[in-house]
Amino acid sequence: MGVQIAFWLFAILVAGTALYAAVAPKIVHAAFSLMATFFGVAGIYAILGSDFLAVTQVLVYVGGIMVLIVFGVLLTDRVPEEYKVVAPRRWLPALIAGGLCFAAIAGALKSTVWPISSSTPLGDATSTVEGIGRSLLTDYLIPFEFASILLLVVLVGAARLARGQVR
Amino acid sequence: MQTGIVLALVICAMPLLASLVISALGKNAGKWCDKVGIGAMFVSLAASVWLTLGHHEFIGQKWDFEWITVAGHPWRIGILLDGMTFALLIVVTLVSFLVHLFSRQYMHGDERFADFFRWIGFFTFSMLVLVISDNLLTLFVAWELMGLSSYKLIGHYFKKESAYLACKKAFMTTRVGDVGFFLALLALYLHTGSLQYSEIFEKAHAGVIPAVTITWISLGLFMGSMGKSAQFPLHIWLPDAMEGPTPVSALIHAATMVAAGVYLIGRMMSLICLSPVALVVIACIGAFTAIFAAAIAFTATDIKKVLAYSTISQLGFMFTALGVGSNIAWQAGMFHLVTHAFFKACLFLGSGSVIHACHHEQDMTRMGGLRKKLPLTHLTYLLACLSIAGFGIPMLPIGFAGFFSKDQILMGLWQGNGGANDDVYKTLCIVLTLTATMTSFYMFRSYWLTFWTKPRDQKIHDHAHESPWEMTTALLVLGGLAVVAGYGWANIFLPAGGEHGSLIEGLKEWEHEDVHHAHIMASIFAGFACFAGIGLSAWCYLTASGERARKAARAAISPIYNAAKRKFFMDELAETLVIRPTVVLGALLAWTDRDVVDGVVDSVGSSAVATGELSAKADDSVVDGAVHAAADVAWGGGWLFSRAQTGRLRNYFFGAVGTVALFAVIVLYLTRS
Amino acid sequence: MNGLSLNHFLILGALLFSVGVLCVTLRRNAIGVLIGIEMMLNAANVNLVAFSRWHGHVDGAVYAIFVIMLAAAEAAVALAIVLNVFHHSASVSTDDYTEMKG
Repeated sequence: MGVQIAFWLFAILVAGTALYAAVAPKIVHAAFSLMATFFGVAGIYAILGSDFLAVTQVLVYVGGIMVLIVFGVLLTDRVPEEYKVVAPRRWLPALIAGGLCFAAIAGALKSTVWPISSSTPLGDATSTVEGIGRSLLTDYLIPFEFASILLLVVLVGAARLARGQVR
Repeated sequence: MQTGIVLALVICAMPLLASLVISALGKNAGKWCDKVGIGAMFVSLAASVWLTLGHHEFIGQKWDFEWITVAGHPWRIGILLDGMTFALLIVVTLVSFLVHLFSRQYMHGDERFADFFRWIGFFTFSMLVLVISDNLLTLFVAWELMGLSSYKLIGHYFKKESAYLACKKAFMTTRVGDVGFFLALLALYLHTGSLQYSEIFEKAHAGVIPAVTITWISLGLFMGSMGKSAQFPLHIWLPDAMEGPTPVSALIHAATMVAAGVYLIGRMMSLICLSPVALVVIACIGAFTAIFAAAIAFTATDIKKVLAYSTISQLGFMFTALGVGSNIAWQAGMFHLVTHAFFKACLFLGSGSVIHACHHEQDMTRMGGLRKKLPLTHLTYLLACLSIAGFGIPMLPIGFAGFFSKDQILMGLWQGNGGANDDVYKTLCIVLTLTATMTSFYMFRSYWLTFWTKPRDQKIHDHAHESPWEMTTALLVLGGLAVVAGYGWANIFLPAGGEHGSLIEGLKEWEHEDVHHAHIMASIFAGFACFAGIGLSAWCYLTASGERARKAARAAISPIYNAAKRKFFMDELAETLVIRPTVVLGALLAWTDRDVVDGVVDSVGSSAVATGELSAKADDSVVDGAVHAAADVAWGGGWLFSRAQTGRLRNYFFGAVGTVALFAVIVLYLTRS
Repeated sequence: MNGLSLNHFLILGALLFSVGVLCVTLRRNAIGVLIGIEMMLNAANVNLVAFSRWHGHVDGAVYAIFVIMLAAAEAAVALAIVLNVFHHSASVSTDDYTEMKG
């Protein structure tokens, strides 16, 4: 019962903050709201028994990507107000797109019959750290190495891009 | 890998490396290219000297690897070191090194200085690959690469019309010979299934190839040689090739590239000697070219043209010797190739030095009396002239390099090959003796006209000056070699038969005692030729009575003289017999195409037009109406859709996601259970 | 699992994804668009982890790790591009980037 309450709490947190992040008039508010969403998703991971992912989520998203986004906001938000071109928000297309997406996915979920039991998970909720570690260094070794190369390339490329106009 | 092979690879790789480095240097090449080129050639030369000094140890070493498998047949390519390879490696690297050194000053200030060094390095590389390869395939590749680099080098001053015409002519003319060469290669491969020397010879001697085919193959190979080594009638490109810079003439058109054809025939001797017909053809064409070119050289006044025709003539000597098909004649031909490389390179570089000194004046009739102004050039030119004239003491082994080789050629010819054609060879021996007389005459004519007699153009004479040390060093080394290269060279490097002579298996082997009589005859002929030629030219050009006699003689044979002056109309002949018919044939084909084929097509077309006009009437009213309506609809649609292209990211995103989601919903609705 | 079924988590993922789509379509700010994309990636991750749990297999979690890695890379590059474009046109509004206008 405790887990169920936790799930609903986190689910409401995720849905609410995500919605606010989507519609908040100020981009800074949106960014911080998104941070709360990330925390909520980390909680969902914890409920699902993926302790490692929950921690990674907090570290990478909240610690890394959030900081990046906030920096982006701060660096680009220095245009004087009178020069800002305020285009009208167009709610209709946004709502149609979002609604259609949700309808499509929910419909698919409803009509799908899972080959696995829908109510009881197979695994037990022990720590996944060891399993993930083994997988990464055996079955997924090559993707893992490629990922490291990709990150290196991104590091160099982002640095090059970001200073491109500065000189 | 054995030491000799490694050395050979180093020798080959250095000039290529230099060429690549110069290419890679880009804008800085002008400053460094001469140093890079000379340095690389020095390493190459050092390795070559090492190879030469240790030739007893390295001879016979071979190495090959499987390069590629085509249709189940493995192609093996590799390296073979034997006497011929050693002899040519040292010649090519030495001459090339000296030419590099010489060019550093001669080409100084040229706007395409770096290009010159790049291509001359590449050229040296191709020649070296040709020499060390153990099969006809790599030889052919190197052969063509040399054609390319000589094209680039002859056309060095391509802004001059004559230069670019000359390089085109050289390329096209040698290509004619290459057709024969290529056909011979195909035939060889067809019969023996290989292009490796050893395998070809083995199969040929085992009787795999029919006798007639051997003759045709030999003639095909010789056709390639005729192109590359400028034999009649494919010699027309070589005099024109003098449009290239003088060091190029020295390297390519005297010492190395033209030697490739001789090398090919010498290399394939074991095959060619199976066909007496091919041998006689080679000898006759060689002898004819020799005397023919010598006659033209009499009348040339451009110092480089004299040397060019002399080169053609001397190459004719070599082919005549190779055409005998006996061990001593083969040896003599290859030996003459080596000695000729030295003295002709010396002569060309000497002429380059003279031209440099006279501010690019090449006409001998405007020179004269330069011996005091250019003492070192004069000395080396004299040495080389004596060498080419075959100066020496008859019957005794004392003389200049050319003395030994020419002596041996005449001896080999007089001796023949013990077959049915010995009378022919004896006749050719007389012809060559006459040619040798002419050779010494016209070489000394150029010598007297340039360095002795009164200065005919005082202005040029006053401004003449000796060349810088790089140029004179190269001259002195080559001049020295023109003197001493005759001693022992043939016996050391070119042992025909014997222990390492397996490649020329099948040659007629003469013992030392057999040729005694021929040796005496050859000595008499060669001695006569040398002294008569030199004496006659001295009389004609240095004394007043001689000059009168010369002018009288010229008037007496004026038709022949004028014909020779016009190169015996060879260019006109080629123009009339080959080029113009080709152009006419082309025009004919074009006419056929235009008037006959096109006529048919056109008539079909015009009937179609008539039909078309008829249906156009119907078109205008009925069909066009529909088409216009369709176009209007398309235009309207286009206008509508172009409104959607707002360029706004959000709209595109909405379009993409919304469409996908919409379709997903529709599909789900339709497939609901 | 205490009354929670797989579909609970999948619906949550679907909701998060739809909100992401809404965000991308609605926002004019380039960084806002980025926020929406991050939401969608997170939604995919929720699905992956849920499936992983129900399969009793870590493969889904490993995929999720790769997705996180990809999101980090994407955020870095995207922000670099946004900064670059901002220097170029002094605007972060995607409506001003109309180079693609037909």
